[in-house]
Amino acid sequence: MKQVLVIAERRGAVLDEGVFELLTAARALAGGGGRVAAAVLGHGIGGLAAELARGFDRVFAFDDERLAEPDGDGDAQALLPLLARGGFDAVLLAHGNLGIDLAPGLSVRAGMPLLADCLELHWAGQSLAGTRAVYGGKVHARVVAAAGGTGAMATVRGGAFAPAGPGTVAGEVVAAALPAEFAPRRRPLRTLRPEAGEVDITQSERLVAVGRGIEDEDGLQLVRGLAAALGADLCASRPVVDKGWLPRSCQVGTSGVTVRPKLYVAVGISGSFQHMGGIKGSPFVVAINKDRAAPIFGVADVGIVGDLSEVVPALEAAIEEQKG
Amino acid sequence: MDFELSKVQKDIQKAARKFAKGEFDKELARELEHKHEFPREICRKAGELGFLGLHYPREYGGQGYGCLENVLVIEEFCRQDSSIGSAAMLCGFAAETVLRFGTAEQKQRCLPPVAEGKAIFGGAITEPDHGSDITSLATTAVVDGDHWRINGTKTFISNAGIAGNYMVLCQTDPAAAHRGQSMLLVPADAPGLTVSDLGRKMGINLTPTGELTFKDVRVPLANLIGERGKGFYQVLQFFDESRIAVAAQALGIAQGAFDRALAHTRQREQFGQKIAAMQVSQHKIADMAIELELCRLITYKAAWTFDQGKPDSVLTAMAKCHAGRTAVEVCDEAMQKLGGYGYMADHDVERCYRDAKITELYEGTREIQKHTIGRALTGRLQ
Amino acid sequence: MDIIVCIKRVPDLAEAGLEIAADGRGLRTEDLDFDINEWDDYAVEAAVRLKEQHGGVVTAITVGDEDAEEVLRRALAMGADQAILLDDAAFAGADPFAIATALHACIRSLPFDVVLCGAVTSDGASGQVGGMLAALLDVPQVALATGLEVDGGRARVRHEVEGGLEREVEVALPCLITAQSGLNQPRYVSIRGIRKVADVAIAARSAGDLGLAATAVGEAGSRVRLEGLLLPPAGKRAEILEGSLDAAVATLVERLRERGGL
Ligand SMILES: Cc1cc2nc3c(=O)[nH]c(=O)nc-3n(C[C@H](O)[C@H](O)[C@H](O)COP(=O)(O)OP(=O)(O)OC[C@H]3O[C@@H](n4cnc5c(N)ncnc54)[C@H](O)[C@@H]3O)c2cc1C
Ligand SMILES: Cc1cc2nc3c(=O)[nH]c(=O)nc-3n(C[C@H](O)[C@H](O)[C@H](O)COP(=O)(O)OP(=O)(O)OC[C@H]3O[C@@H](n4cnc5c(N)ncnc54)[C@H](O)[C@@H]3O)c2cc1C
Repeated sequence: MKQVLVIAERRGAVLDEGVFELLTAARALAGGGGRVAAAVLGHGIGGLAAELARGFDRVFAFDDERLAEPDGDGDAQALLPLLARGGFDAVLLAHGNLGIDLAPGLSVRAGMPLLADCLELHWAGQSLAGTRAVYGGKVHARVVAAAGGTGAMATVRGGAFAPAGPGTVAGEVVAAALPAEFAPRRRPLRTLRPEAGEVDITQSERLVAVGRGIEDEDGLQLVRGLAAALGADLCASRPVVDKGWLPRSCQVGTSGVTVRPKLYVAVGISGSFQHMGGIKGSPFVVAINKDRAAPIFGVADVGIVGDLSEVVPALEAAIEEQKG
Repeated sequence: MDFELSKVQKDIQKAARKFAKGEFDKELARELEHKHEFPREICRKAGELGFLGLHYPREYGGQGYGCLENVLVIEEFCRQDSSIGSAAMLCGFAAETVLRFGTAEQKQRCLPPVAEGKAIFGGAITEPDHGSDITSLATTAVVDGDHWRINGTKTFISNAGIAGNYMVLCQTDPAAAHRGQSMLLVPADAPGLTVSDLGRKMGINLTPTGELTFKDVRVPLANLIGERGKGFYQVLQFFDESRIAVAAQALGIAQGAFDRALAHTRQREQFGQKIAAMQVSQHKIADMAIELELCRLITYKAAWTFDQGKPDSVLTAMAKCHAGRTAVEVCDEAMQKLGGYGYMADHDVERCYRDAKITELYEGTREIQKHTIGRALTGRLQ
Repeated sequence: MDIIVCIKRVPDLAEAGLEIAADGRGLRTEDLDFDINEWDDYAVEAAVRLKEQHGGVVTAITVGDEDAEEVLRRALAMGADQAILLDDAAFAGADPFAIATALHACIRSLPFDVVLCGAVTSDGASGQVGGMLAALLDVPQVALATGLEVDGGRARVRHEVEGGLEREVEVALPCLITAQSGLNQPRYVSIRGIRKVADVAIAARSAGDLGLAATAVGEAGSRVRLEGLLLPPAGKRAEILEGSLDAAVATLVERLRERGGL
């Protein structure tokens, strides 16, 4: 029987779907008789709090115009009294951009251990324990919060838990006040939306994705040929975009675009969760990678271990031949 | 005794590796090879970062490092790409003759632009009728007032047509054979100097190889490099340094071919198993690795000895001879390991193979190295 | 301006076959190449650019052993002015909090306007050290920066936020920024750079030098304990098409027709 708090993330006026994955994790950790609470911060968030109250036993709504924009630094100040009051055995956040921004500082201020980016969570005696991916996902680490203290925090990887269905809990919404000393230190200037690309890959049925394995810009040519043969659009992992070889609007992943194709061909992509996190709708995934141990082969349906400079042209030729 | 590179040397090695990885684009190399074009932009960047002429003193645009540091850079460059690496290694060819024997003014004029990647240097020793044997030369230089007047032909000259200056070995006293040779500094734009390209060649196609024809080419008397009548001996001394660089080139090319072959065999399957899992492949890989390690040891030792101020012609000749042979053999074996893929341009091993061979030819053929070694060991026999 | 950049030496994972060491708590490192953590490279570049624009001193710090010095020398060669190696057997087995504790103890005695960290490391991948260090230093922090300008006592930072958006925010100095890829393209280390710093002495500091008890750092000072490493459960694996390239490609085309909608 445990008390678990989930810090909900929102995207503008809507809740981040990840909060319902966290609800699943929280319920499992709370156990029978345990209680799960959510905290949500923002301005004019009554609706969001009510939505959360259908799944959580209690919802702490921090509603203040100074919280209009999510701010990992300021939100930590807002939440600190709630955590400091004690009583939560576990505090969960999504391991997304906000979680990365918010959790480390909050955990230090609250004096709680932080288990980051967990794939799984459980109790080891009275201590929160979990499994996390390290070394580019090639190795897993079992970690446990040091004993003693006042509960532990964890950030949870997107997709690690199935989202909870629509709730019927009728939880209590508690208006949480900002601490008197609340003084946000960031001044938001503007929010930038990624520029739309020529091709809207969120609508593409078939995608060929290129990763750092192409080594240089010329490698793109190779993959363009394959995409053309497949009638697919081209997208990329982040390093390809960071190098300026393809526009931002082509980046698939947690900090890029979310796509829902039927076919996804990953070429020279290792399969980091930040990349895979942008692929939804369970497409048929093909991987071409020269590293047999690359995590992409753990998520793909079918793969060829080989150098893309050989495999890609051969595949293109074979497809063209099929088409006759 | 200490076989460990110093921290700084390791830093240099890593910096060279990263630069080569980042900039030496194999598609570009293939394209430049096709067009017989020098990788100007890459050499300019390499110069800017101090990779070229790092063994020149700082006052002449260098970084004050030695032969060993230069070897580390050449090895990494040629390992990443045999053709771009070779071109970068050759772009200051023979400028060391100015460095070791030239006047302060000559050094100030010639070296900084080469070190900065802004100018290319050439060294003209070989003639149509004098290759391995340069004890007497047909290219003559005579004093004509306050100038030298040069006539003759030099062939197989690297960087011909793109170099800004050439060191030209001339017969200045025809009666004295090798005791009558001198090095002259000749600017590329000297009237009477014409360059003709020598057409297609097997490898190192990013570096032009041409013929220089001198027809009453006049350069000031002050363009004498080193001492009059000492040219031949200066060339031999220069070889004590430059042959180590060639050994490094060979080592790098061989390592690059080996890397590619190893990766391929670890991945390719035939008869239901990885090529690398077959014992015969493992033995071949072991053989190649042994040879590479031996090359590295002798090349580094030759460079280290040079940097101790005790250049050793025999050790240097051994290093060049062994590294050149190893490069040719390892590239051959690497291609074998890739099978048909190795023969195709897409895998660059055939390019390594073609680029490797020159290391057994220029700056003294393999036989000439053995000459040097054998003569030193047996002494002059009655 | 006084700029501090915290960096780490990590194994290159790109194509390495990883093996877990006998104690089950680390990797076998004999066959691994090491280098600066990718995100820390962006942090160093950002630090050096700030110095180039505004003048000042860049100090690079790492927690590690003698081998880790290599990344400090790299930072120096890129343009940092001084480097500090936090080296003590007591630091071993540290979690991100214990690392932040050591860094904090070092930095609190230094003047600083901006502290830069990489957003994450490619090995431990927790992305915590920067945020924790900021809290310990009690300075404002901005995570996942993709743009950074400093002007008259304030930093203007573009960073990645919820929902794939970016936000531009302003914070007062001193502050801590964690660098995300895309912030810049790090320069190459030049031989000139290496030469200039060849003789720079790298200060080493032990826990005691930092006024820290051995129990406050390393494994003892950690809030999260590593129980062990394991290879990920096999789980679902892609069907790997073996055999000759032609055969593999032919099968792949078949699969694409059956299930890929070709
Ligand atoms: C907060 C945060 C957000 C992020 N958001 C995103 C995001 O939205 N999208 C995203 O993609 N990444 C994102 N990343 C980066 C992510 O962590 C990985 O670094 C990135 O996805 C790796 O891209 P990659 O697979 O192309 O490169 P790598 O991981 O370097 O993999 C390259 C792969 O290519 C293979 N390869 C190399 N050469 C060849 C060849 N010749 N033939 C065949 N295969 C070859 C290698 O074996 C390797 O598996 C984010 C990171 C952070 C910290
Ligand atoms: C691509 C390229 C670039 C070059 N760049 C330059 C340059 O920049 N500057 C320059 O001055 N030269 C350069 N050279 C010339 C090169 O140094 C000579 O080709 C080399 O020294 C051999 O001379 P040779 O070609 O006249 O062969 P030869 O001397 O005719 O030799 C033919 C064969 O006979 C063997 N041989 C000769 N003498 C003996 C002996 N005594 N005992 C046993 N065997 C012997 C040789 O080893 C060789 O196998 C270059 C050559 C090439 C191909």
